[in-house]
Amino acid sequence: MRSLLYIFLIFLLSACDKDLIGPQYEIGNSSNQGRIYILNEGNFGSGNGSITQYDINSQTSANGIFQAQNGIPLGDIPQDMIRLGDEYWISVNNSGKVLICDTNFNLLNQIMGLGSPRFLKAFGNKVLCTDLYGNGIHVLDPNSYTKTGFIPIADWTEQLEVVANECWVSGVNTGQVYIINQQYMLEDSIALNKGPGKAIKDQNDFVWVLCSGGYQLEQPILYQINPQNKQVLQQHNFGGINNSPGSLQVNDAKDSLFFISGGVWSTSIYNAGVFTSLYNQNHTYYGFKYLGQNLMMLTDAKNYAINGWAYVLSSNGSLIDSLECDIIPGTIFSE
Amino acid sequence: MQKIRYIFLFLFGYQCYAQPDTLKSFELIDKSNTSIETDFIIDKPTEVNSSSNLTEILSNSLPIFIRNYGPGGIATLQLGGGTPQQTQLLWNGIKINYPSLGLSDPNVIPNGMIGGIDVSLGLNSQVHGSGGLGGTINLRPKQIDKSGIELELLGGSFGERALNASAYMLKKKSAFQIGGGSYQAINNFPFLNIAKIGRPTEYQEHAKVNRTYGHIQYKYYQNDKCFWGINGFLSHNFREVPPSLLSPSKAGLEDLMGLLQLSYHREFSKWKSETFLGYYGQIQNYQDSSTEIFSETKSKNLQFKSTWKRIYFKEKLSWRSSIDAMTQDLAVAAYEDIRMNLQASLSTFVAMQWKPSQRTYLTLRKEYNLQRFGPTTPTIGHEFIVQNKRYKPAIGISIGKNYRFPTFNDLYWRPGGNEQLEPESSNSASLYLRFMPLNKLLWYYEAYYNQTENGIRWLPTNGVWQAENVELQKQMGIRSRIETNFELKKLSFTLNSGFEGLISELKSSSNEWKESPFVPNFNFQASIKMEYNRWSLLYQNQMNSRYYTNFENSIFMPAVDLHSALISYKLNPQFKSGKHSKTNLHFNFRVRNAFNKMYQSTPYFPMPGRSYQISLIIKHA
Repeated sequence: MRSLLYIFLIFLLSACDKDLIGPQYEIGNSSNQGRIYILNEGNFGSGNGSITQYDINSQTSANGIFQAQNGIPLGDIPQDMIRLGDEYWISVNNSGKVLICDTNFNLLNQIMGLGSPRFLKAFGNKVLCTDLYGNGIHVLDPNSYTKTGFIPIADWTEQLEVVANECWVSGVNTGQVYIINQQYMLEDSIALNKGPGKAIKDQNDFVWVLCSGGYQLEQPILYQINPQNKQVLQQHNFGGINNSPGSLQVNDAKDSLFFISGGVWSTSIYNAGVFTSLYNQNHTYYGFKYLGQNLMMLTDAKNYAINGWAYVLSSNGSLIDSLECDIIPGTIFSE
Repeated sequence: MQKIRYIFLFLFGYQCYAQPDTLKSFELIDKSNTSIETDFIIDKPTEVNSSSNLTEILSNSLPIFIRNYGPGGIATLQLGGGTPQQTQLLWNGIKINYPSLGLSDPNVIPNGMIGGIDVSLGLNSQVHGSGGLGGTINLRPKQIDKSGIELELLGGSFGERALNASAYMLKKKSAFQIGGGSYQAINNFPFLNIAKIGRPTEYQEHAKVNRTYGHIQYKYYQNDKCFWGINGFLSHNFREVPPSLLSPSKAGLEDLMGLLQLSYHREFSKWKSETFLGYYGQIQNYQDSSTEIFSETKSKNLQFKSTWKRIYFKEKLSWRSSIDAMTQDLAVAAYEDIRMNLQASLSTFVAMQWKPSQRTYLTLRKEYNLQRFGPTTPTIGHEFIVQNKRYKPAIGISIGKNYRFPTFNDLYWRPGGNEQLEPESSNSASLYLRFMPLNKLLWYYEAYYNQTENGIRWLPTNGVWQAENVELQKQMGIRSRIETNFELKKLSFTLNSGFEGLISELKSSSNEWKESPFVPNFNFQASIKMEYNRWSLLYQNQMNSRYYTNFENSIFMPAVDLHSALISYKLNPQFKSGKHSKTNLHFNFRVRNAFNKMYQSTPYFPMPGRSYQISLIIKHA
């Protein structure tokens, strides 16, 4: 009988547990001291996307800063992040939403029901949001945090860039660059090869677009375009459809272009056919950004299942620092 | 401290199989007299959990981890550290896992017909077919052993109410059962909203559940060696999807499932045969918890199974062979067409009793599925029983292979389905030790190891998420189980417990091992039933350790420890003549989550705190 009493006591005492409810982060909180943010996509369908913060001065990083700040997960596949005044806008692709936070990542609002949002760009007094399956571009109002319009485009729309008074939008499957005017209407398009990326302006105000070829469907080509008449000024092939270059960037002086294609490459806008390899350690390079002040950041998704890494490089390709992120670090945002 | 507690639970865990009506007839299941491939047998599970759903019955009876998406939401089963897809749920031999997702939802299975639950863990699940890398749970229909009616009325917290009725008829050559019921709950329970600063108490909204079901069973006994039967159920489930902490969306999901099974048993002089023909159909709405994407699936499953058993040398050697075939078709809007799957398998099972003290079994299975053959999967096991009448010790070992074919979603989901996927395949071994001192205590310990190759994971490939074979999984664990019953003066006690401690890890290609998400290191369940005269008290405890929710092991859910109690009073009115009425009344009062623990099983899907339930069961025989 006494042993029964002991057993009861053990289980009654066990009921007096600490008050932990819901998911807990194993690692520390954010310190909010960085100006570079890496969006980690997480596993598809798992809702475990996150944001890594990196302070380039102190070379410290913190993962999961959104969740640590708000107590809720970011969502499934965070895709892009922009700054709009004192707000960060973050598109979360597979959750079909755009989150609006203050600069401390406190969640202020969200715009739901966007289908499959990809990239964001402030244009005029609206924010444009491309879509993977939606056959068009969402027009979002930053005052009411609502979707106020839609620009139909029968394509997977991806990267956006404002060129003069227009917004250039890449159409992944058709190889078109769509031109959106200030009335938020499709005005024109430029036919290129499949998989065009972001439009990049050089020091002469010409625009460069790197087409990946659409995952080995066509030849990858780097184009230079005159934004005035939309004519292609020059184009450079990459020598085979097995290459899949992307993430075109430009330096501070806007005379050198950088991109990734199994590693980091560069080329001068004045000698664009000559590509120089800067960095390649045979990793799964996924995201890339020129940070300014001769620094670049490159992300490594590893095998897409474990934590990825980010590398800080100088513009000549030497490694300066590295940091562990969460799963599939992709888009890099810097102030 | 927590680790010491778990060690205590493993070594001296306690627990009971409670059967309010039949305590005196409670007998420990002597495993040396049962089929060697079944690990746990839960008989008459609804006697004590008549108003519970299958999720509650299993969590109160087994050290199993059930990932729950809140009351009314789906729940998924995980045995032996495997994934929900690696745990097979069967109705009398028919697979009832969702063909699209590969997992099963015990919340929507009507329990009125369940007469027993057989649990086969790891390798032993091979006897039911492939796929149960973690284990298999087979639900058996009720045995009809009397004529009468049963009526249950129930009410409880958060708008819970239920009405269940069954009628039984037993004649010389036939037995018949018909029943049905409904269950409703508003689920407007309070919870702490951890997504908001200060964790304010809020009330769950839009989480209503409404289930109705009917079931029927008929058996005709041609003679004592031949009978045939038919059984089936139809279940309709409506559940609202609460806004949860993640999404403001509100929606309702509706599932309809039906099953019809014909069975034929025949014994010849040296042969015994069992043949089943089953149809299982389902229309299911599914909403992904993260993406909030809806998909409606319509599946039809026609399964045939015939098992033949031959006895040699006065049952010293038995040979059992089965053939089964199954066609499934599935229509999902995302597939843009209807997908068909034909599966056929041939298996053979040999069990040998060498001497009174030793028995051996061997299984071989070969399956054909989706235009390809699965690997041949052998299993061999041996048990040595020490001739000691006082303790009846036995030691056993088994080793073998198992595998699981990819699900329809893995193969065909658009975008990302991969028709080139290979089946997951596992190699397993286990060693167990069993004592049964004085036929009053069953004490069982097992250590096991399982390694699975070609684990299926969804990964982004060339910009599109795609199912791929990349994962290597391993599980190392120990299990213990203790059952006993005894009397102290006028008090009767029935105790049992189950404990599982394991390390479940996975890795992809050349990377380091990580703990599998949603697999606790420890699962424990226990209950004690005390009976005095017409009163009985049942105390139940279930707990699990903390577990990670992501592959990187950076986010975890805290440990959960739940307690519940049931007080019953049984009344059998007596007439003036001294005779007892044929009508029995049972009054039950139950407290769930007695210590009002605020917890979640799936992140951001709150579970209810303390709740109460009263019920009246009327049995007339």
